[in-house]
Amino acid sequence: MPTDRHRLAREALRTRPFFDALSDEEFDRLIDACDVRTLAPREVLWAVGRQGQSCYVLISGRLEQSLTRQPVGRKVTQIDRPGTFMALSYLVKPWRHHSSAVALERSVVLKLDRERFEAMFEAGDAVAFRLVDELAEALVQEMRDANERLHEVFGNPAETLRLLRRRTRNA
Amino acid sequence: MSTTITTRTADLRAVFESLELFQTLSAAEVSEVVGACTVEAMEAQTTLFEQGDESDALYIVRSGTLEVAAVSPLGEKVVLATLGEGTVVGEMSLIEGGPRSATVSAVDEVEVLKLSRASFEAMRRAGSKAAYKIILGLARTVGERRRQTDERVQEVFLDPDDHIDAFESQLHDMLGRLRKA
Repeated sequence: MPTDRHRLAREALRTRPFFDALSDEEFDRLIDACDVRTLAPREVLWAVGRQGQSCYVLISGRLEQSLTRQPVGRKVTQIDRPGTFMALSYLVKPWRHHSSAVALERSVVLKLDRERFEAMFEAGDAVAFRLVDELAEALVQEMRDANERLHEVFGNPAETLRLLRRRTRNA
Repeated sequence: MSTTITTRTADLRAVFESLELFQTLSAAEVSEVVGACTVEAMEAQTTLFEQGDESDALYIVRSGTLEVAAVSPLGEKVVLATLGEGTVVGEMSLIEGGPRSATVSAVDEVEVLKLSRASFEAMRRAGSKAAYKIILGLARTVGERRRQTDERVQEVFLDPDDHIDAFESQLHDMLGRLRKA
């Protein structure tokens, strides 16, 4: 039965392509499988090194995701578009987070635990398959990023050498 | 004849079941994937695909040996790997197009199983759980690979002194080859 949670999620997410493509029943099943979490400003959603057990979808508010990546240093991304998936790859395996995410203002997110996703997947739920489709898109980007980083560091020895020498001098 | 086909199908199923990417598939799901594959025989010294070709299929080495080579920025052929029986080639082709990063050719007589992206997409469209399990398998592989990349890069910059010599020597080698070219 639709609840306030369903109404809130529907209003925020229905205009996003992923959610718009789901039927009403599929949309409700996904919302039922999720918990709603409200974050206070500066509240941490996940931190570096913590084991990831869930993925999240932004309903409202604004979050900041930050990670330290050599050789560029700290990279910060603001997430403010409702319907944005976060930490989607943690549906696959409980890796440790390599980034952290903190709320910049009062924010509401949907939280889907890996175990619930796995149960939906095993039951052959089309919603779980749509999530895997979304994951496949993210995978392609993740693979490209990894290849670019390898090329940047190991395929360009002159630049890497320059950076390493500079760090040695500044140490 | 039917015994031969049954034996061959069972044989192909065993190949899939031995590979990590397909480990979570049930026997029925493996059979479904086997049904979507074609078997291709290659003569020695023939090419499976060239660097720059469109990625359109995953291959599994059924027998024989493949060589993976790429052309370096200096125009030299660099052999990156040799792949034997039970190796998967081009698994990301199932979800991503784009140019092949290397040329793969047969060292001797080779038999490969080919799963084309078109067949795989048809399985996805039909809501095949097997196809989705394969994507989850790819996600695990990519996730591990990305973490290994992070660790490798992190290691270089955490201890610059330990790696300066290696990068200097790599640079000298490159410059030497450039001068020769």
